[in-house]
Amino acid sequence: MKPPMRSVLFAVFLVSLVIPILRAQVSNDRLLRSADEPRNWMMYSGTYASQRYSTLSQINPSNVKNLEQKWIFQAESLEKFETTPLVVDGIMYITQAPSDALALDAKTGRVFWIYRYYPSTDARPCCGSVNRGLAILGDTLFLATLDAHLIALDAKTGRPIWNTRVANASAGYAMTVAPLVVKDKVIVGVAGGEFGIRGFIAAYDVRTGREAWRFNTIPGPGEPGHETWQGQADAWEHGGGAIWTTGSYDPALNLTYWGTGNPGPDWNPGQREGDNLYSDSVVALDTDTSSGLFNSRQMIPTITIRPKSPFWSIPIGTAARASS
Amino acid sequence: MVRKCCLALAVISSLVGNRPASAQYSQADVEAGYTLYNANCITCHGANGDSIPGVNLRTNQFRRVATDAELNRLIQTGIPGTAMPPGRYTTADLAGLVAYIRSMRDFDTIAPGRGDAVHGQTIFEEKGNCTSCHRVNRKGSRVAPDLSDIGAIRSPDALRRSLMDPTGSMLPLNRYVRAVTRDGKVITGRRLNEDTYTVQLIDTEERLVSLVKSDLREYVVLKTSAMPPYKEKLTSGELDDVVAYLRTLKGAR
Repeated sequence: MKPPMRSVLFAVFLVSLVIPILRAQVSNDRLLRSADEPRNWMMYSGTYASQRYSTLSQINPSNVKNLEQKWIFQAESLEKFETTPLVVDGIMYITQAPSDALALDAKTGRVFWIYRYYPSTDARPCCGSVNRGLAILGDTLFLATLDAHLIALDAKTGRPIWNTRVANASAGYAMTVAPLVVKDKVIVGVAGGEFGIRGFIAAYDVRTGREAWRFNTIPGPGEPGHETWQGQADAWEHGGGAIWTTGSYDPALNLTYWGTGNPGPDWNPGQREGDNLYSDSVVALDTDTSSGLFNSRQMIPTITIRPKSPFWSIPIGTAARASS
Repeated sequence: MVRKCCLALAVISSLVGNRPASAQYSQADVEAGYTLYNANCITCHGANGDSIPGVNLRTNQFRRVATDAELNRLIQTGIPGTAMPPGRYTTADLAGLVAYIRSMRDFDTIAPGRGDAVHGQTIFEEKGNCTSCHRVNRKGSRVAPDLSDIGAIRSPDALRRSLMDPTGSMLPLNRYVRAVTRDGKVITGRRLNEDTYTVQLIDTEERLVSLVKSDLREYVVLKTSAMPPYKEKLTSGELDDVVAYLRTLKGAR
């Protein structure tokens, strides 16, 4: 028996109402399958495999010369733009230095809202008061601020939901990194390797902002790798190993990979003799507990000069099935 | 020592001098002034009289005028070279405006201490059905302004006015717009941002929408609030409770 036409139409109408509302939410599943939505860019590196590669083909080598200006957004900042925009269903989310977040219409560049954050004047980044962008889950954005706070914002209105102090800005800590959302956690790392910090990567509950785990990039007394800090007795406490590029995530192994920065003091290795683990390394952490430091590799052993940046970690191989 | 005493006396006398000042204005004048203020001044000066940086009408201290006569004259002449325009009012209207501006602070001393905030929250969420449009601490719709920090930015009196007379106390910032696209699609929402050529809003489905005005068949700014007046819906005691609850909302940060 055929259902009456009116009911069918009503059902279609209901479905058409529901779909856009569901789509508006960036679920964990959408983040995992972000490669299936090339028109969106839902995390700093595009996908958890951090390839930063778009499969869109409308712009290609043959027509790239024809690109012309469509719109300009003028930032209220003279600082460098280092933000990677997120684009979700036509809305572009960017940061404006030092630590503002904005929602723009991706088609016109017009502003929906601006969240203005005024970092503590104690924040003193070494190399520019920059910010590299946001993370999103559901309808919540995550912003790491220059004075080392992690803030959750309502993506629809730009209103703050929670604000957690990750580290003490007056002790040299800063954040310029775009956070990474994995499951129910948002993961960040701290900058400040030039100011005597001890670097760490930490995960926070997306709902409450409470810290779930913290991994120190410089091992403390009794931890494996602590013996690689010789010279001054407290060298490890100020050993650097800062974080300023966003990690990647391999769902099959439940590991998150982060590149760490230089050891400190960067130009004076005499104070920190040894291999200085885990500076200038790639660390792999269990996303639920941070424990199980698998396959961490120091990329530039016993460094005396600082490399330009930490490493981008791209999981390759059978688990991630990523081709680079 | 003598100087200190004199200073203390001067401070006391100025406080005493300010207090009964409002008593000289009749309630009718103050009420007339309130209506005029909401019609003419609120756009720039705000419901609390403090929307312009550096100008807070509620302090009763002004940069350019001191006496009522001077205030009266300033309202008529405006301030050349600033956004304060000259205003044409009858003598009675001017008396009302001065009376209301001089009494703004006293208005707010009425409400504090009254009302039960816990009961107010229940009314807000149930009988008043406020969360069907307003959001407080992640609960409720985003269609109307988020009230999570309303207690920090509005006086109790302004909150009460908004409940009693939503349209009269609605800030232009919060006006809704109605747009009809060329293919007949009707979009209604709260304006977030607007320039000469485009408008950005949050629609009734809580979606962020950006429109190019030249693509629209119709574009109207709605000056009537979608919020029902609660004057009749709630008792005076219930209004006190809701205001008491709203006053506790100070925001996440």
